[in-house]
Amino acid sequence: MSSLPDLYTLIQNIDAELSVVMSDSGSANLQFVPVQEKLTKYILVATGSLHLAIAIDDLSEVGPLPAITFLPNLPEWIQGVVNVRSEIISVIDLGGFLKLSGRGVCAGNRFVVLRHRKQKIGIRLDRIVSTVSRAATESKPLDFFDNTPMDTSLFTAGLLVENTLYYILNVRKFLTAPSLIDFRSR
Amino acid sequence: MTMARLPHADLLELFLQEVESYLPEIRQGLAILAVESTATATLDELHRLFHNIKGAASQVQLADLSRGAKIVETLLANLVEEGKPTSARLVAALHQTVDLLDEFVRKEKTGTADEETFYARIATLFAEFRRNGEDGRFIDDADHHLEPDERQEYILATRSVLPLLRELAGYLSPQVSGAENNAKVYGKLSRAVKTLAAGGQAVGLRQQSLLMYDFHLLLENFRSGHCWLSEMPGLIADFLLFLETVYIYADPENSTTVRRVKDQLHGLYTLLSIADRAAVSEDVLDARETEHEEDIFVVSEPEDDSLILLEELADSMLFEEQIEESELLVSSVTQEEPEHETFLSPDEEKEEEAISEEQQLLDIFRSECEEHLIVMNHSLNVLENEVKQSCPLSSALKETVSEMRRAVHTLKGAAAMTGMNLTARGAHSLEDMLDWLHDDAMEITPEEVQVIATGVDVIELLSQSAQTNESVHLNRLVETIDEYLAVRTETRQPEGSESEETDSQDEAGAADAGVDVEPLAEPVISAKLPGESGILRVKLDDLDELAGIEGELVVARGAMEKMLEEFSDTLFELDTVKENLRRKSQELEAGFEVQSLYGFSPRTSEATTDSDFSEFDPIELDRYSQLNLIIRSLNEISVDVNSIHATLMSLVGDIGAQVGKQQLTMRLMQEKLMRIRMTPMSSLSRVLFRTVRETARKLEKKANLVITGEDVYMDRFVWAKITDPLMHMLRNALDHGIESPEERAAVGKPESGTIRVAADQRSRFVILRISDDGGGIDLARVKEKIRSSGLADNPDALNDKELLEFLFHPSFTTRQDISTISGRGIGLDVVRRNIQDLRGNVQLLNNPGQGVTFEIRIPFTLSVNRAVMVRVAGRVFAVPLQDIQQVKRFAVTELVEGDGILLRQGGDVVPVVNLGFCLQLETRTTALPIGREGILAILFTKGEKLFAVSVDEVVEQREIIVKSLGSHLTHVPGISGVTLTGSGELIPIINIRELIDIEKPETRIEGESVSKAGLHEPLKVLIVDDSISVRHSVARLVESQGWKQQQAVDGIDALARLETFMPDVIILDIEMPRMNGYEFKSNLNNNRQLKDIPVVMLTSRTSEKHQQKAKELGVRHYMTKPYQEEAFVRMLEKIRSALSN
Repeated sequence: MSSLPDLYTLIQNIDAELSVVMSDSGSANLQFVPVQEKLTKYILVATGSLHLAIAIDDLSEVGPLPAITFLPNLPEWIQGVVNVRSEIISVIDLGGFLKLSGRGVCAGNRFVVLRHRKQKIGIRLDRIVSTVSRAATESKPLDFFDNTPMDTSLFTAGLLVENTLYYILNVRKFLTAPSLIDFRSR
Repeated sequence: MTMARLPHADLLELFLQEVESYLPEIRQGLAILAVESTATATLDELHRLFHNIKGAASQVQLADLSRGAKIVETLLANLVEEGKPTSARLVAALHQTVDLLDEFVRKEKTGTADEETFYARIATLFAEFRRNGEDGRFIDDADHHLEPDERQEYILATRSVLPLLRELAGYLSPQVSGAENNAKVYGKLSRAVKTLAAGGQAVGLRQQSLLMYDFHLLLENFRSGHCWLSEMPGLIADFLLFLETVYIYADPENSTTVRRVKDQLHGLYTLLSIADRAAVSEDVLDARETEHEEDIFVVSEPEDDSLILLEELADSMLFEEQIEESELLVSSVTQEEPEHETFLSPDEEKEEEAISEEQQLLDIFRSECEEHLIVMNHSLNVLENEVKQSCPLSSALKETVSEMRRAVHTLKGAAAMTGMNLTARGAHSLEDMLDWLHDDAMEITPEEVQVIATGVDVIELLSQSAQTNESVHLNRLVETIDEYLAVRTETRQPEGSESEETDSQDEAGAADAGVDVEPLAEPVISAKLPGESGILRVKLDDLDELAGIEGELVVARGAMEKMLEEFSDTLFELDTVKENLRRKSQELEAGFEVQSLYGFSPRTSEATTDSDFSEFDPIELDRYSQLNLIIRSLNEISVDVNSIHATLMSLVGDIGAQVGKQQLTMRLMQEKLMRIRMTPMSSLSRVLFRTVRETARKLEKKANLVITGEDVYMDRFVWAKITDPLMHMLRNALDHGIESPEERAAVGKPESGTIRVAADQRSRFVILRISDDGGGIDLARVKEKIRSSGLADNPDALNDKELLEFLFHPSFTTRQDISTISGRGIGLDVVRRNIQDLRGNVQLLNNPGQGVTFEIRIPFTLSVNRAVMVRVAGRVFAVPLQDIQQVKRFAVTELVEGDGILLRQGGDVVPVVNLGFCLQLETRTTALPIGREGILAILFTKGEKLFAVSVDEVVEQREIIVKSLGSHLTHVPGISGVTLTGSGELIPIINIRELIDIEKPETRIEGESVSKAGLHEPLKVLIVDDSISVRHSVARLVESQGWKQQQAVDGIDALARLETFMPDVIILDIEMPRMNGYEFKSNLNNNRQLKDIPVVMLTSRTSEKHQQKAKELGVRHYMTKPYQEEAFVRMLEKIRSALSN
């Protein structure tokens, strides 16, 4: 606490020492250095039969869904807009957007707000299941799983939590998807 | 990380322990210093310990303690650096510091320490120490002893004084005859500046103080009459303006601005030294304090003629500094993403600060530039209109040139000040041209006006652009003007300018040396518009008025706070009364049954018996039974309640009045703020003039632009949005409308065409008319085009208005060829859409052979509006008032059944559509309404046609704040935004003209869209239970799901609720007073509208018999108390899902 500047010096010294060590030792030695894998925290949610894992860093809001204001002339998967602390956010039914068959329109009363730069969109949810922290190596490519009956281009991988497959949503890709932004041409 | 999570109290405890552990070490160190005054290692150690205390104190938010430790740390650092011996007095002071620290730690543990006192004592201790001459360098910390308010006060005062001084400088006469008067003015200025210098010194603004002092010396020099130059008054005024810029910053000390202003002063001195044929007098320099010497620039030796230097004053200052604007911006861009943001070195931080300051300065400059460019363009337009051929320079024309020259001169100074070297150079060159015209030329030619026009364009480009390639334009302009002037004046270029010129030529890449000015390329037209710069110049009066209103609001808040306090007190009283009432009601309840068994005999006491008063009849002497006493108490409570009621009523009245007053004040504030957002049309004119000029040149046509109504104000945002459509229409007018000079001459029109842009304010709208005196629209060609492109089967059957409508059709053009100006068919449809986005409309009036007029009608602001709130299919929508022509209830007799429903309005019939259908909430109504009510309709115009939509109810008319639909839904057809209610609910704002144009499926399944919209509505629950606890616990659970609820205490109450609240589901208890759950459900079953509402029986009765009875009444959901919350919510969700599907 009281030695922040010293800490900075210390870090600089350590870096300097490490650079000397790394240049002295062969590159072959590097593979033996134990590396702490970075953990990503996900929120696990369900909308209809679709189970999603969304990185917490990509969220700006999780909670009860405020009253949705219906707007006309929009595709059915855009359910309307909500007021979140004076910010207007559109709410969508992800299942409808992905054209998942065999399910009705999501009528849950929870939602998450995804964000990427200035873009924010809410996804209506039936359930918020839990949060988990997982390393990248713990996720599995989607072709690893047998049953992926939908277009998986918006998902990066799958997480198996308590025997349920959660699709990891690629929020950046989703929020910049032309079909989402230019919804009228869809 | 662990530390970060600790609560503040724990952190503080750790800190105190840490300081405590340092104290013995510090004392030990001081003991060593007492013996060995040069013990460097000990001083080092002490420095480290105070450094740690400073940092740690700051971490636990003990700011004053940290500042105190910093004083000691700085002192120790100086000692270590200079290797000075430590005096006994210093050691004693440090001992006192340790004692103070010790005391602070002890007191802090009991929460009685006073940080401010600690700092004040340390500051006093070491200030005293410094005054005793122990350590001179400590003076650097002198400003820490000042209250920040003092410095702020000084800055504010200086900000107020400088404009006054500038005004005073305006009285300086450039004539020799005014020398006596000037001496007085200089004297006043000099004394004022000296006072400011002394003030700056006192509040620790050392750099500013030195700057002021230098300026004071210069003024003294002028006052004494040692030197005289006619330009000096202007330069003094300019310099005062620069000083104002310095004080824009909250903490101007050591800023780049100060450096620049100092450079300006340097220039003034140099000029003075040359003018006086001597360097600034030695006594001036000697007069300064020794410690100032390092800051006073060395006056350069005069090498050149003073007049040349005067002309090149700005340049000499500008070119000394090698940083071009472009480089500046490039470096600012590279600074945007520093790799090690967290650990910037002090140098890097300073550099970053300087860059941010530069950027701020640039923004201010660009904002100021707008004003000068408006003047320049205005003058240019006059010249262009007046000088059609070579003509003598009349006094009026000279005045125009002079006006432009003043603007160019001021812009040059501001550009130099900001470091916009290229702009300043361009302005300097143009000023040369204008000077020559004003002072020497006898006549003016269109060619010269063209040179000026290019000069203005180049300056505008340079002032708003950061592109280095613009310097090519600049070089070309400078060369052109130089050569032009050389030819016209037939004089030799001054010595030394040759090499400069050669450089310019090199830079320009061997540019053509001819005098023809090559006009700028097309992109120049897309200059920044007012309101896009991000900086707004606001009149001081407006700000003062706003501050005044804010003051009123503060007073109002005080009044409200007082009322709240009174309200609180009354509530407290009410609570006491409520408690009394509860007690009495319990007494009544407990005693009533027993007492009723034995009769309400009079109350007896041990001391008295009935027999004592047996001679009295009850009428003659009151006897008090228990019931009498309770009733009396209840009466008293009733009186208390009445009193509280009266107080509350009076408070409500006061609050109402106060709210009304606040509403008025807020409205006033809104209007003022709105006024600040407004800008006149004149801010746009230069862009329009340039568009016409450039387009006419390209098309080799002649045209004048006449703008009227330049003082019409609109929101900056609206002007910015309307500029593109306006420019497009001007280009169209030139390309399609105005004929070539030959064609015009042939039909007897003047060679030069005229385009008029007229602005006129009408209520909350601005009408813009763009008209030309060209050939008008050839309707035959329009027909031909419609026919050839298959847009209509029989164009001959269309009237003129219908034909003109096709011009707004996408990809429609009558041009055979495509040019860079127009003809691609991309245009008028986009123009119309842009205008519609602004909730405006555009109309076209064609006068074949005489020209075309476009009439645009737009609201002058979009941010705040009045709207009519209407209810449609159970939902509320806002319709902006300006879109509505009339709201009227039409009786059935005024309705006609045809293709849908038609209204009789005047002599016309107007088609009416139910708004619910347009909003996809209802099916289309085609049958006439049954009954007397008729139709409530909103009438509005679209183009010239009248339309109507029917609504269920007009809720109210009120002011709305328009909000966009968020980052995702940038445009929803028919919806222009949303507004918020006081409770945070959203209400869509309808763009009614757009909405009725949207194609809707005619064959909609009834109720389909209603259910789609209904899905998004929160579930509405009616809770019927006589237990308040149950009602509240269910209500809480319902609201936690984002649903809505209402409560009723029994069946009767519930029936009353159902008249105003239609629930999706009813939670029903069985046993309730007045009407039980079974009776209530029977009642529902007898009502056609209510019988299908799902009912959940929530009861403690678990028997089969009760459940069977409920089932018989049609209850499908039965839950027993106590219930599981999750199961209860699941049941409601299931019911909701069933309803949705």
